Formats: sequence, C-alpha cells, structure tokens
Amino acid sequence: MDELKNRLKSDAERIRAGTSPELQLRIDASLASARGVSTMAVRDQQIAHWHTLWWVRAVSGLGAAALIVLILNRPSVDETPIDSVPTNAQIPVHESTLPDDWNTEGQFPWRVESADLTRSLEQELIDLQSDLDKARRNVEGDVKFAF
Amino acid sequence: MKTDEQLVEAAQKGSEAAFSELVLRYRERLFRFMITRCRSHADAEDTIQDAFTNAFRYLHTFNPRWRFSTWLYRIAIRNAVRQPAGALQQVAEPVDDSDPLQECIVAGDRENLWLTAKAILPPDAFSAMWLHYIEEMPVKEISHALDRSLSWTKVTMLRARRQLTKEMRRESVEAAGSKSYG
Repeated sequence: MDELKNRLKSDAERIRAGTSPELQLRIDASLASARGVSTMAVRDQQIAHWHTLWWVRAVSGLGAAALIVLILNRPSVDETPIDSVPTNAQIPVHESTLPDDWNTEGQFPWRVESADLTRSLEQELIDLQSDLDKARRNVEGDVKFAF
Repeated sequence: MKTDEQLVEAAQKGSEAAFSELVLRYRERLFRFMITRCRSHADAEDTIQDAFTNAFRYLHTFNPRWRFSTWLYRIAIRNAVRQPAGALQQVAEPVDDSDPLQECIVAGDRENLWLTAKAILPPDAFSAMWLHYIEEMPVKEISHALDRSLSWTKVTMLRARRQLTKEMRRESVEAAGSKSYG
C-alpha cells in the first residue's frame, strides 16, 4: 500500500494545472457582489429582529395590563362570604321606620291604582306618540332658539 | 501564519482580507482537484468561482467541527454535480471531448496512475482517493465532503486501492515483459 501511496503522490505532482489570471478577478467580483447581498441580508435581518422585538414588547405590555386589571378586580380575601349575609327577614327593623299602615304580617302596602282605559290601547299609543312628537318639536325649537 | 480556523473566525467577523487569504490558499489546490471531476478547464473555474462565492455567503453556517477544507470541497463537489455537462462550452464553442486532466499531465516514461484511476473508478471513489492521498484528509472528513456514510467511504476506498494496486502490478509486469522482449 505504501508503494501505491508513493506512486499516487508522485503522479499527482506531474499534474500541472494552473488557473487563468482572470479567475481571481472573477472570484473578487463575485465576492464583492455577495458582500452587497450579505449586507442587505443583515439589514433585513435587523429589521425582522426589530419587528420581533416590537411584537414581544406589545404582547408583554398587554399581558402586564391584563394582569394589573385582574389583580385590581380580584375579590378581597376579607370580604364576607355570601352564606353568612342575613336574609331580609332576619334583619331587625326599627318600629319608627315602618309606615303607619304596615301590618304585622310583613306585607308591604302597595298603593295600586287601576288604569281607566277610556279608549282602545291602540288609540292610547297614537296619543302617546303624538305627545312625544310634540315634545320633540318643542325641544328642537328651544335648541334652535338657544343656538 | 494563521490557521484556517483563525482565518474563518476572522472572516465570520467581517474581515475581507481573511477570506481573501483563504481563497489564495485553496484556489490552486481546489482547481487541481476540480480538473479531475469537471469536463473542461472552464467548467472547473466556474465551479471554483461558485464554490468560493457560496462559501462566503454561507460562512455563518460553517460548523467548526469540520475542517474548512472539508466544507469547501463539499461545496465544490456539490456545485460540480449540479453543473450541466459542458454548459458553457455548448454556448461558446463546440463541445471538446478531450479530458482536461490528460491535458494537464506532464509526459513521463509511464502512464499517470490518476488517469488510470479516472478511467476505472467511479467519480466519488476517485475523489475519495484524491482527498485521502493528495489532500491528506481523514476518512471521516472525506465521507463528509462527499456526503456519504463512513462505511461507504471505507469500503469504496478499500476497493479502489485494490483496483489501483492491481493496475499498478499489471503495468509493471507489462513493462518488464516489453523490456525482456525489447
């Protein structure tokens, strides 16, 4: 195998291959062109990086704001639990605050008056709309007068 | 004198001079290798030009685990494979069937074994032998440069060595025979 190695090495020395003088110029031109592309690529990369940073900052800011809102709206630990709040019936009421006709059975004396409908509901609605239109016209007139 | 790794590191930091130094260091060696794979001098020069341009462009992806020469040869071999046969010649001038390797060989009293190797070995086997014996690359680096497995490279090189040894012996027997008859 050493014989083969020596033979291959000595035969390789008999290969005289040289590049043309133009090759270096061509390589230099290609590299100059690639440098321009690389510079543009770096600039694009920087812009992309800046955009990424912008998004990261925006998302972080929104996240922080949401967290603050959640913290502020969180129910207080000291707040009384709902189960322990006395119901309406359990709250003692002072005698003097009750109306005169308050009966002891705990029913509130609603003052209810029945509506006397002299005309049909349809007619009442028409009258109401007419009143509303009249009121609107008055307001518009006042506005025009004021300005 | 700076090592390849130092020059690559400097070039990665933006030193144009460092990369130019690498070009000067490898231009002729790479050309001599590409002559064995390409169909013409022009194709070999085109391949080298593309190889250096691509190496410069993708220098940031260079893995220092491998030698710079391995990476550069890998790029050049890929370019040579991608290059259509005699593409420039077809445009500029009629296709020349002469072997550029043969044209570069200085005449001697015996046949150049590399020429025999090119005739009998597959291109990747030839390249593996060249990278091992001329560029003195370890087998692992050769497998990386050729984009082949380590086992494939070992087996291919073993077979190539056997074939070339056989050719060498046959040649010496023939030479001895011709001397005795002459």
